[in-house]
Amino acid sequence: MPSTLMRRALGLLLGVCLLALAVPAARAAVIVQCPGDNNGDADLVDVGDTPDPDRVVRCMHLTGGDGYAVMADGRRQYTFGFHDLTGTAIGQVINEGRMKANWPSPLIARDEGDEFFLTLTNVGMVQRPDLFDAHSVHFHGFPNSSSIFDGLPESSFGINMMSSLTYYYNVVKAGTYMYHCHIEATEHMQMGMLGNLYVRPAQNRYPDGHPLGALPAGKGAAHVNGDYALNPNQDDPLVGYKYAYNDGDGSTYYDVEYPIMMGGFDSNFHDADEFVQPLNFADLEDNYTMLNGRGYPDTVNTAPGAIVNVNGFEAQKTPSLISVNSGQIILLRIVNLNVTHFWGLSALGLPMKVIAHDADLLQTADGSQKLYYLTNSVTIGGGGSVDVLIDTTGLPTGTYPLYSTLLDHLSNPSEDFGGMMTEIRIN
Amino acid sequence: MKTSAKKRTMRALGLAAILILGLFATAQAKVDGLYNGANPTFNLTAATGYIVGGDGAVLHIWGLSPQGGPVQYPAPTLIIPQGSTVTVNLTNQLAEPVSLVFPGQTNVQATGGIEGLVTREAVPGGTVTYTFTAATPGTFMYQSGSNMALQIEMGLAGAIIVRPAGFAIPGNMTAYGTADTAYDQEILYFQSEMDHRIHEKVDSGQASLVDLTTWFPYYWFYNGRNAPDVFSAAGVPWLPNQPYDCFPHLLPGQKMLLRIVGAGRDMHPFHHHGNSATLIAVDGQVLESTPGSNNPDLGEVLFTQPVLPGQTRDVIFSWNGNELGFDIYGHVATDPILEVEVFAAATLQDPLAETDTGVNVAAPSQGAFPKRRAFRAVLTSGLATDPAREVVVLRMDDPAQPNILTVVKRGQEGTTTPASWPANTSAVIGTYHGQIFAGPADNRFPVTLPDQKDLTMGAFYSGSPFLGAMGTLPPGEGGFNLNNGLAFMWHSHSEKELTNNNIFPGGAISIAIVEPFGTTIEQSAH
Amino acid sequence: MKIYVRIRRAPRPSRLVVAAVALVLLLAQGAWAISYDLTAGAFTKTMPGGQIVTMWGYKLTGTADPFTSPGPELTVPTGETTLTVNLTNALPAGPAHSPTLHDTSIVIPGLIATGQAPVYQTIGAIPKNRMTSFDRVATPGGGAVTYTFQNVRPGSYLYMSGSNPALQVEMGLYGPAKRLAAPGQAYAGVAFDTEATLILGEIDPAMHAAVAGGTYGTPVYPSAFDHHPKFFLVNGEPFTSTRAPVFVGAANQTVLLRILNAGLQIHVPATTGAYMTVVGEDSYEKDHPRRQLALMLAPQKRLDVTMTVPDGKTLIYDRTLDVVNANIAGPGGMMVFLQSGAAPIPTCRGDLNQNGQVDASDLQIFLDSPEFGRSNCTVSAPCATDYNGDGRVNMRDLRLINSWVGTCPAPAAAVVEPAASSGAPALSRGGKPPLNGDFDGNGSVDHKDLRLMLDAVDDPACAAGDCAADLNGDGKIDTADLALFKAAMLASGKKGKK
Repeated sequence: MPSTLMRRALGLLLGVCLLALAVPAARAAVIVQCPGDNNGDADLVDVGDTPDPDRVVRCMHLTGGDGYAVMADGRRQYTFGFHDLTGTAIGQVINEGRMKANWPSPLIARDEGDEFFLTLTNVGMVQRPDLFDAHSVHFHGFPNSSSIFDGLPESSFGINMMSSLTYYYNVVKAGTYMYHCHIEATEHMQMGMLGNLYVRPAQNRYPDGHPLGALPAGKGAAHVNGDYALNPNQDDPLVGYKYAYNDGDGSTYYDVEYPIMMGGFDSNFHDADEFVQPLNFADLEDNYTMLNGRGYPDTVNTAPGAIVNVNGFEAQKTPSLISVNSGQIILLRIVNLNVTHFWGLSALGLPMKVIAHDADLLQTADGSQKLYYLTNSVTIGGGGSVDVLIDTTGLPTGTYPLYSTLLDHLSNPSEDFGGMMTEIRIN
Repeated sequence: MKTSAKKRTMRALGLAAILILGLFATAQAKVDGLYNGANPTFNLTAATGYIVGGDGAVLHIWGLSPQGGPVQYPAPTLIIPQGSTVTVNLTNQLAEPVSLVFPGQTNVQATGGIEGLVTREAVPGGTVTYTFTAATPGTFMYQSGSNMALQIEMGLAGAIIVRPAGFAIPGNMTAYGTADTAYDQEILYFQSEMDHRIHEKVDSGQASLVDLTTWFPYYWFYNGRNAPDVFSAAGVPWLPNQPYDCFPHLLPGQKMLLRIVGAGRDMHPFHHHGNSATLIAVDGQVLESTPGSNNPDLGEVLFTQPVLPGQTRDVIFSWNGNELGFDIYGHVATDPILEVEVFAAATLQDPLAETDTGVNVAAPSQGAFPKRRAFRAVLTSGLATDPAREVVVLRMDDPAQPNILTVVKRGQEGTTTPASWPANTSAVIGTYHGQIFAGPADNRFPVTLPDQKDLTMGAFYSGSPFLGAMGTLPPGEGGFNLNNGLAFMWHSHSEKELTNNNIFPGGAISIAIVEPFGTTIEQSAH
Repeated sequence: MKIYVRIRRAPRPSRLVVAAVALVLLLAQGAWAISYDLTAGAFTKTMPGGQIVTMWGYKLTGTADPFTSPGPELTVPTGETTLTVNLTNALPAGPAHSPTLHDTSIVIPGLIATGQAPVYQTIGAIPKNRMTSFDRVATPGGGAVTYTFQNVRPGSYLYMSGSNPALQVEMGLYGPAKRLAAPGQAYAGVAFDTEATLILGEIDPAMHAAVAGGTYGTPVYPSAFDHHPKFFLVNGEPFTSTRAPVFVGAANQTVLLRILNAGLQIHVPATTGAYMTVVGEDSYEKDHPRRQLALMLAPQKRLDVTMTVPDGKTLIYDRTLDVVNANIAGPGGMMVFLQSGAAPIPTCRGDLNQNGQVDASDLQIFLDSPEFGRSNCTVSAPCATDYNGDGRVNMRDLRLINSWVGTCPAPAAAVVEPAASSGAPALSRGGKPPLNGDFDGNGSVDHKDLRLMLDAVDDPACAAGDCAADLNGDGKIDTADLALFKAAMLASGKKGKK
């Protein structure tokens, strides 16, 4: 299409002009903002750090850049992504963060009541020195968000290369969310700047013995919590009962939780981005489908270091093998973060209890009645989330597939027995 | 090749056009359409026409034109008072039989024309008449009932809005006649797509060669327009066949009713930035536990609406900036507390002395205090004229004892700190926003923003985090947000749909703006 | 097509015995596992436009029935909770490059097969160990596997291949299954008057040609990812102008639609008029049924929907507008009309599910019908199953439909009631107290006794009060006696179950 080529040529010309204008003017510096962190490494655990005992400040330092992933059939894919450098000294962030895009991006798990200071440093694109893309973090589903911290470039801004931006989130609502870069959303999301994000409920911190009437059988009638006090310095491990939501009755109790991100790559698009070719938005269609950044059977490979990219870096660190003991309750925090499709997951014979859609507990408006429902599969579009409990009590031990109900996506993509599938093993 | 430069070009062009034509003078949130009073008759003609894509492409369509008007994409929105007997006379100027179906309407009768597969059809040059009773309020659609895969793709579909009995603008704006379905602003999201290759074939007389099983859309529409055309005002002369816009505005605390219609073939995940919103009805049926109550107590709070083809969804969105952790209104301590900013209020059960580390409050008379997190509160005597007020930071440490609040900080922002606040009648706790951050009164903000030269800014950025405040912006930045509101993208979260035939951005993008208090927002006419 | 049902591990019975055994199973309610024998095999189908595609489907093992897709509907009797499927694989052998490609299995989403054991193989572009079948496989050439599914809840099910389902389900290896909560009730208290199953499917002829030609899994057609359907099916057929509607009985009755998606894509069943009420999803009853005009139906999703179908025809169609047949202009694909009003005269009397033959599933429908037990059938309020026209739907009609199993009696033909087994000695009480149902004295209450009981319906001895089959001794053999017989058989079956 000649007209498209002309547009692209014009775009390139303008891009070069803007690059020439933009880069020399920038102040460009890595800056971490984290109250109480006095050495700039975005944590509060060092000697000399002075966390405010009256606040629950939590910090994280993500870098945004490029990298590589490897598909389950061995194909290399160029990616954009985030990487977690919390605890890394400021001076090392650019070097440590380059070509370290994780796929999916690092998990962010927070607790209700946290003040979350998230610093994003744009380390630039090593493989694409012609690019000068900004990055952002969109905390998808955040209730009552401000536009300044929404990560939406149209209503605020993205951070340019070699610079840092700190987002502030008052974490107030438990649930399963997701985050992604919103700059050039179609491209940056297709390229992999997508991460799991969830918020644990304040109910986890109820004092020991707080009555909860709908706990699962065998769990008594009251909350169990051997460590009530929060540590102001760092994430405080939960030692008692855990819940997906502030259900008020213990009905969202779970034993083990797994974030499950349904995602996909269009390999033609990734190759075009890698080799500086025109990007084909019009024909975008994911051919590699994945759970947490891996196609089956890599999803069930839990060996550390088993999946490494062309640079020997373990970019895809999130296996999705779900392993439980019989009688345990699994919480699946399922999100769909892809740019082309609605997708569904089924656990075949295992009953799924849906307790929340889009980080909101299913209940009547007045909270008097829960509206949980049982089903055998869940289907969500991009940007949707669903929380599912699978109670293995009384179920036969064995291995069950957790698989894409859109069966043609069980491929990698020119080999069958791959794609969007993992296994649930009840031991 | 890179797209950001392209995007900036697009943005600059769109901005220039809009600024030149001065279209932002009045913020609006309204549904346009045909309104012919009670028991209306609509004379619609099916005909061919052309529309303009967001990339400037000319696209052939089949649409409906109201009597004497240009053919429209989408078909005209029919606004009908509840209980009306509705007559639709459909005249066919296309080359193949056409009909209309009205899913969800009662007592639909078809007369004239010829018998078709689904209903009676108008032959080319002929007319068919449909009557139905708009018995129940809600959002519905109407569409072709003939050769549907082709005719709906070509554009023969539109929205129907049935106003509940007693509806009035202003004064009694509800979706379903009940207080729980009341709203302050409304907007239509009529969602469709287009595979322009099919339209080109039809335009060149090759309709019979179309293989609809290879359908693959390249354009995505809200109310018949692609971004950035959604921002141009309704009825602008350069979009004669696409009279509807999609640019919602609301004030903090207001309820906005989104009437979402899935008119195309695909499902679309519709994500509204800014806040989750409550789905109150599907296909004109309120999500209710008591049938007929029109009380949406089974409503679902969602941040992404899965919009099905053939489905309508009524969604109520609101935004008030609560619990952001900072005061997005940029208040000073003596500012009045607006109702929208209060999320819980209670009286003191015990006096609060200067040395107390906790307060004992009664059960909140409205709302609830947040659990295990610090929040900002105002102690007052409860009288609007009484200047005694103190801004404090409180925290509920034990959710099992929600009436005991730890005092984290007192006497913020230069407010009075009396020796003791008396219990019961004389002191009220109104809570809002977050804690107090250091800085000048107009910049009490938890972080320092980067130097603007390190940022790539958007056209809707006001230059300030605060509602209604305008910050300094470099030349050429901002400009789409005249009142310095807060802009939130409402868009398809299948992001490939944010394109116009291979050009990003475009397609299924719209922007909602939370405007500062006092902004006038134009309402629907009927 | 007829449905062949037998007691688990019983020797293959004669056709007449099949019928009686079927009744035993239908009545036994909990005493016996219901068992279906299915064979998977290939057949061809002519599509609109004349294209002939190779399909895979199922038939009842040991019958002369053709293979069909969807396969036979598996009905789990009301009160029964275990479903056994004995699968035989009569598909052609897999291609040399992928010899296990035609290994097949049966899974039922929502149910767990006893001893479920996935099959793994180390294969792929980079050989990796991976699950190639969700459960044990039957190999082509007559391989057989038994799948026993416990805890079958009331509701609708989809049985399908669990072996490379992306390929095998698309090829046609799927079918419906169901269980009622009670006669005339989808779930407890969710009543309906008539029911119909609508099962959606897709066909990509290129995939079928590749499978038939042995090129699936080669560069010609590498994987199921290349699936691009051209035909969209309801109950195995795309819409054409000659497609018969689904008859749902008198206007304004409550119709239960079981809508299942056996395709690979999401479809959106919709109506152009009346609302659908979703009463169940994946065989779980909805606490708060929603009234909708369009339904999201993801692959393998099962929705139970009630509708009041007005007079005339009501369109159910896929609102994703897969309502075309390949590149043929005009309507086609995933559409079907529901037709109210009097159903046309069926091909066979007693063929209640209109599958061309009276079989065990018709008996089940008969017994589950709210009509069974009615004694007030009139011309203005007729009973469709009052076969002998006596105004009642009772044991005599049961005996009639039972006698027709395996046949196709013309509707216009006069009903000939079987002759009474006049004076059958075993049924004479000879003045003794009523027997326990073991009429033939073989030590168990079983299907043979049921046949004797049905044969005795018109025995003059019963009217005279000397009739062992008249279990409650009220001078007639009726549903009350049937209930007693069921209880006796239940007790006997528990003792003597093989």
